[in-house]
Amino acid sequence: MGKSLFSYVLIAPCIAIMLFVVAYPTVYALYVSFFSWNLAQPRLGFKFVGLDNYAKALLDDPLFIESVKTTFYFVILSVTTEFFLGFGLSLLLHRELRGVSVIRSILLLPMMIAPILVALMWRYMYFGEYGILPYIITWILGIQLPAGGLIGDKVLALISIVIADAWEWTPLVMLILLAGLESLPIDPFESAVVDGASTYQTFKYITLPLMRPFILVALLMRTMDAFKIFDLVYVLTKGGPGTATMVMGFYAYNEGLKFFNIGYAASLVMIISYIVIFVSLTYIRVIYRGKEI
Amino acid sequence: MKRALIFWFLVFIAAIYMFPIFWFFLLSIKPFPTGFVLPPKWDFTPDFSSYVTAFTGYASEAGNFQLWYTNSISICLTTTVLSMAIAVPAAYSFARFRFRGRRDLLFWLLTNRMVPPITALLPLYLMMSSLKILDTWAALILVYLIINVPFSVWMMKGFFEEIPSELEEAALVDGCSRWQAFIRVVVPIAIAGLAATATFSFIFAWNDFIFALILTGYKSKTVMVGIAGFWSSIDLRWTLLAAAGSVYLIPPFTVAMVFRKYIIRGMTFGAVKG
Repeated sequence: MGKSLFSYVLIAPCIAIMLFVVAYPTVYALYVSFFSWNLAQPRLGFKFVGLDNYAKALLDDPLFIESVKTTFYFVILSVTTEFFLGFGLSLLLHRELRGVSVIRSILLLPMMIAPILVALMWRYMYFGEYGILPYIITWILGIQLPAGGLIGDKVLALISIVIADAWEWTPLVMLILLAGLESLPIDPFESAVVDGASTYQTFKYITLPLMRPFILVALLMRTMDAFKIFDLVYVLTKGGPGTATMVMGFYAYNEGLKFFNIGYAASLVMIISYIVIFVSLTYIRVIYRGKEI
Repeated sequence: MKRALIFWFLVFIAAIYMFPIFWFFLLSIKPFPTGFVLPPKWDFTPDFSSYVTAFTGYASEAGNFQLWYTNSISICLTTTVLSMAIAVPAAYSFARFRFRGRRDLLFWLLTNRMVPPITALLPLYLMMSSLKILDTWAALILVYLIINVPFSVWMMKGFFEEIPSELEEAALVDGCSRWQAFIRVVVPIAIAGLAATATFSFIFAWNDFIFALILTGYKSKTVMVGIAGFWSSIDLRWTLLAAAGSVYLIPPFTVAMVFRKYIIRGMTFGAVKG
């Protein structure tokens, strides 16, 4: 068999199955997004409405716009928290110290846990009447929390989700950056010592630039996944209180699979995919700029 | 002094990391309703009966842990085998040959990692309901390929690239076909990577919630969907939830320890070798 034929034969099953499970549904969703179609009200039928669904989503649905904003708040808050904590921890752990390998192993655990289980663990701690965290906070600070506990308050609810997310994913950022720190060449640091650079100067002019590719990968991984936030919201707040933690994925889920407003939900799904792919591809272009993959 | 300070700070961090897991596990062994009493009681007698109840006695309309565990294990194993069979040859091809459209196809696979699951779910839900396979193992097995095929391709591509191509060339000279060179020479060398990739695929499916939530009903319900149904009640079922949830943690934690070398690589789609 020729080389090029062989190469195509090997990838054929992969491409075929991905076309079936991804490309076909995506094209179908795009098609449906131009129609008015509500499975809960079959009498209204399946009507072509052109770009009406998109116009409604972008111009006439303040709840959707708010959910996009909430998602961005969440992404920015959680990714920055995870990045700074993760970077700090990686610098602390990048040294010969008794017990460091044990601590590293412990930090591997949270990111292996199903996000839904993480959400349940934190729900158990956040519970209004029974949760250990409201209890500790009241005990230490003397503040009385709202009846729903930490997840019963508009601002605290989003922060509670960020905390649970950061708990699970800060170690990932830390380990990526630690892998980076460990792979750095030693020469530039030796010259810096010879030249009498301060710790801060060494960090700013040598560590940071050399770490750039690792920082980008860590930020990319976390940003992509933060946009997908669903499980934590589903268990901790269901989008509430009010609409305080209604993220766009959860909003589209409600529209499509709870209210069965299929045509409209399909247009939401298209808008969300566009936003996420746009942000991710921007990162990836920067990461793979001029690089062979 | 500074070293000691850093050390104790790290111990503190580790404690913060262990606490939610430990606290959740503790709930599962506290006799009901000790887990819901504040201030927390520490002088209780550990009670493992919720484990027994969860796995033998608890079958009601709302749930059946045995059924859920059978579903989860069968679905995850099948999807892992299938995705490896599909992805490994493709990964080899991407690693070794420079064919037309290679770069675009690789990026296309990667975009599937970016899109929120909900976007794929709505059309998949419609597709599966028209194929009449909602609430079957097949639906979830198929859907998990969306996550695991791109992952395994990128991951295995990295492992194959680390194997010098002279090995296959030698095999070709010795009269092997290209397929034989791949199966008999390359795959055995990449076996550690293969094992790591397969295990991670298993865990990704194991940890999924949203796909299972939407595509399963009573018959094919997975553990995560089953126990998440208990989240709103504060009663004995939370203790059962904690017991079933603690058991659910065993495979991921085992993988974390056995394949710790490959975790970063797995979590970053092979972008960081770690």
